[in-house]
Amino acid sequence: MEIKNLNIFGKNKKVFIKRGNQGNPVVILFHGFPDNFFIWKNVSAGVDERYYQLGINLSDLAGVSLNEAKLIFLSLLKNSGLPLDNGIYFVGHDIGGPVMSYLGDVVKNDIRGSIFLNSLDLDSYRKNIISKQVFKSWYAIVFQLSPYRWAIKNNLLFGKQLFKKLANSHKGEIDFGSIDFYKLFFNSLIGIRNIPTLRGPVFYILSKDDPYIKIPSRKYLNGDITVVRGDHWSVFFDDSISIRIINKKLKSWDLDYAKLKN
Amino acid sequence: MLNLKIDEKINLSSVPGFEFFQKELNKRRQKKYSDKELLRFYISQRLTIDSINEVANLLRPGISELDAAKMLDTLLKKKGVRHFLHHSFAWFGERTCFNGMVSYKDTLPRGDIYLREDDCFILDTAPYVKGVPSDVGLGFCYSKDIQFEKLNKNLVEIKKEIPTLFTGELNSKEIYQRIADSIINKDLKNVHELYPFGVLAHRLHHSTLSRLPSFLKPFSWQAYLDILSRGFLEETISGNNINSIDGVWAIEPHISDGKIGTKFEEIIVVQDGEVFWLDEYFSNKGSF
Repeated sequence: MEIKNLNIFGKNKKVFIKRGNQGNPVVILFHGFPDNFFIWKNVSAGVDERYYQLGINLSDLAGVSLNEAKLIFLSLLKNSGLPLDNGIYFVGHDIGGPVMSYLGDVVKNDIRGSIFLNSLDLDSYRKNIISKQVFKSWYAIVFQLSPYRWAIKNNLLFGKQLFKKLANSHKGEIDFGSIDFYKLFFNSLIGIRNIPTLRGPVFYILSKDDPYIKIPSRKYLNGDITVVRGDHWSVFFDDSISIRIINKKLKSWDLDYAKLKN
Repeated sequence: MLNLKIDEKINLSSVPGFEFFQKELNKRRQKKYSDKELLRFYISQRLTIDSINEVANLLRPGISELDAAKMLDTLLKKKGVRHFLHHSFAWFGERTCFNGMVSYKDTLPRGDIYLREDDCFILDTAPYVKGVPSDVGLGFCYSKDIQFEKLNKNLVEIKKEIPTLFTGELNSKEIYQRIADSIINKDLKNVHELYPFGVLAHRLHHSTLSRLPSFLKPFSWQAYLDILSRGFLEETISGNNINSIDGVWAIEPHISDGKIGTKFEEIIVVQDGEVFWLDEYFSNKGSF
């Protein structure tokens, strides 16, 4: 895992990069709330080393207009120097999933598939809005209040301590920077914004005991689903079955793509 | 305006007294620019050219015209632009030749037109930078394309011809015709003929109104007011004869071979018998 500093429109942005074997796609990792790209440490080590990897910090894209986020995202991709022409896989956790749906718009043709870890794409979230999911996403409603978002971002209200109590299974660094995406997410769900759809196959890995996701019925999803044991953050444990499932899925999509190309 | 048909020609000169009124208004509002003022146009244009190149460099196949145009607006705003003479346009593929466009509404960037790997595209935008406008349009191709390179070579030749046309004794109508002839002689199509009023060039002026909020799109109310208050068609080179060809002009020949199109739009200064491309003038001057 190599941390790289990129100059994006005059500002320093950190990404993590892992080089793969020539000719293979790039896996882009979108963390959730309240994480940063370090949450991917174990997953990154477990993903097949053939693939290039790029981990971005969502806080670098949050708090600006969606157009600016798209601009920064494209600039991060360009400046990372990774071979995007080989294709892209998206892997996202938590709010990283909806963020993938937004940003997928600017790399539509490059996307070969998207994996959602304890997360859904925007379209599936919207289809499931009239369900228990509303109660599971209660915090997203609280996050609509801008003073609250500001306080959390600035670690007032004892944000970190409170969070540690509410989510005791969370391990690793805490970064509240991506909280602003919840505003965009909420607007999309209640229909203020059009819902962008991701190109390519979609796969969901959902944990059985995740307190923030209600496992939806297959008819409300845009792809296949696997339910694994554990809770919201257990997909990041180094012995997690999710890593094996991710590798299997990427390999099968590689084969599908090769077949399609031939 | 946006609902006007592209092939519909409007003859405003047929309105009695309109031409006379425009000419008189325009005569009174002409201005000679000092080097210091021209430098501000140059800075504005440089920022716009750089931004267009930056966005063009970032685009990937699959992005929509609308996203590309919005990203260009966003980048300019990040660089301090608050208002626009016109917001950004992006045309991909065959739309670079205006093929299939019926009304001016069709020229607006679309959310359902996506860039393909073999596509050429045009980005065109006109921001006010500290009250000084620039209007730049440039053509690109996502991958190497021989047809596009050929088309670009022709465009470079046209660009070389332009200063000589302004230096001579030609009036605006003749300049317009010479450029049109030059395009046709190269077996190409003249796309700027399809622009509103067939405009090949329009004058640019500082605007104090650019600080006020702008709510119209793609052209701001400041743009409409500015051009109307200076005699509308007298401010353009669009096949009509105008009082004087002096001024700071954004000239935009747009050509196509029927399948792909390209253009350039840059400032040319015509003043006191001197004619020069603004970018070359200040680049040659070195530090300032």
